[in-house]
Amino acid sequence: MNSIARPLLAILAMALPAAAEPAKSAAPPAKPPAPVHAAEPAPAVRDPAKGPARRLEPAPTNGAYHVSERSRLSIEPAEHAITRLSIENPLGDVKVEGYDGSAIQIETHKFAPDDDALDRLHISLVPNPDGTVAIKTTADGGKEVRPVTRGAVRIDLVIRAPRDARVEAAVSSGRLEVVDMDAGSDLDTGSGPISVRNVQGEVLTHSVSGMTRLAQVFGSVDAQTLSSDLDLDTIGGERLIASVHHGRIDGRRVRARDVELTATDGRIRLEAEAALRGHLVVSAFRGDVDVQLRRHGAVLVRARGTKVELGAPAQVQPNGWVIASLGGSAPPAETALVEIRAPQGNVTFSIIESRP
Amino acid sequence: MTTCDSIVSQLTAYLDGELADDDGSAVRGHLRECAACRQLARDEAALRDALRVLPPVDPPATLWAGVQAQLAAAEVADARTPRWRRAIARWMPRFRAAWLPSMPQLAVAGLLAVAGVSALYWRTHRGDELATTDLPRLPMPEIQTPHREPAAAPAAALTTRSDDVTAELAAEPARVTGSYGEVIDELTRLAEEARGSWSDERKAAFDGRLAALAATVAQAQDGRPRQRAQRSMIRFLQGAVVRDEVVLASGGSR
Repeated sequence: MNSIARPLLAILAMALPAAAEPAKSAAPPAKPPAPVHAAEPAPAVRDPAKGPARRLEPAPTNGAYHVSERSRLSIEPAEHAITRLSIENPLGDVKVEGYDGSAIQIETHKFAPDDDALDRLHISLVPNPDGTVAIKTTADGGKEVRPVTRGAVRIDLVIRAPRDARVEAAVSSGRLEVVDMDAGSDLDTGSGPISVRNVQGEVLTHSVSGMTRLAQVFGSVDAQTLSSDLDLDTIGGERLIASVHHGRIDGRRVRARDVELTATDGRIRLEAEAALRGHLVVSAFRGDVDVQLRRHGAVLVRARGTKVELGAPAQVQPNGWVIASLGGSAPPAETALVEIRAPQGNVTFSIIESRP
Repeated sequence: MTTCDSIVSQLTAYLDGELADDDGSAVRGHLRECAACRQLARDEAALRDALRVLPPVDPPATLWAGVQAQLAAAEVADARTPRWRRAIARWMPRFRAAWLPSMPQLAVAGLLAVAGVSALYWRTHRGDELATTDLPRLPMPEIQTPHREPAAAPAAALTTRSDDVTAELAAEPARVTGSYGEVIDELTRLAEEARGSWSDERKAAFDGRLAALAATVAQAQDGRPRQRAQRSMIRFLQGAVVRDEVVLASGGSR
């Protein structure tokens, strides 16, 4: 058998580069995930010491959960590195944490009112040879099952992934959190909050009504929410585009070259650094706009609103724009441009730090 | 005298408990003394354990299609090869390897590999009495084969109760699409209010772009694709309403 064992290892690693270490937890679920051990050299092996143990669960919030089950899983890359992680979990939270390893380690935690309901909750994995690993949670249906409401069941996923894998994740009302990743992410929630911290690359976030927080993001950011606030802290890179429909935008330590913040119904506060030759466009239809700028060179500001305060001598144009030039004269190509609109609100602009 | 080569050839039978007493004793004795063979046996046992806990795997359809395609290609190549070369290749495999395409070999290797997986799976699952280590059969998340889309969410039709989690999950995309639609309606109304001050060129540009975006939304698949199209439409409408910005047909903006 040994003569075929090695080739088979490779084949199986390609076809099934995953193995589970499930452990229906015998302890309260709040424990941090234990290290997951993957077998060498190829498909990981279950840890036989971890037996199944389903337990009565203290009800977390609404008193609906009574049993829980915790599983761990490790996916070793086969021939190709894992480059993309696609996650769809409409039943709970997702946290993705980057680390310096090559495997994907997944901890799943299911909650349900009883064993039958717990058995209806499933997590599927689809490892693809192109380096994508797709994770999806579902609940079984059928006429024979006893109905259980959505609020009564839950699956939370905590995933440790190689830093250089791109994360594409969608949740519904659960929390979606991505930290310490280097290849960007595409995140989508319904009412669940989004939190992104220490991530590089192209970051896209969309939420209907989940609070969105982005911190320490370096790259290209595009964030959009319909009815929630948007918090931006320490954003750098080429581009930051963010919009809310009903909600507020708060930005601090923003250093992107091109910034475009838009709110239909809500105020915007921004503390930013004007990049050389950068563009900063801040617009709120119904709401005030307050921009505080750290600048390195010449800045041309133009603003329009019911009341405009630029903190410097300004000219009022016939078309309603108020224009001020700060930081001396410079060729247009080297001048940072700031454009602020608040047609039904006030505009406040100030320089908080000036460097030549 | 027991050699490493003879041990390797008997290792599978030994691990399966199929060797006669004296043969098994000889293998056991060799393994006590030879670290390399001992490691080999350990690796093989670990592989068997790993296979035992894996779920059955159906080879993906693409594999069979690929094998068939390779066989077909090999037959075509054979047909185009002169008879004398085929004769040489048949009797002198080394010449064949050097002169002929390796497709047939790849195809046969693929078939053998699949057969090997099946055989190995059967061997490792046929009975607990052959197990070298007793691993509990634990429930695990479903692992699907590559190239297969994730299983679709359970159809709501299977569940008659609308208050069941499956029905609620099935209704979720429509709910989100509806939320985006409401925002589009609201922004469209605001745009209608604002367009009184627009030039004719701007109105035409706005209407044209809006119609194109609306068509994209209508044609998009339900769920995420449609929501993506709706988000683009919202961005455009926000640009027109909040930033007073529309790309004109003349190439300028506003």
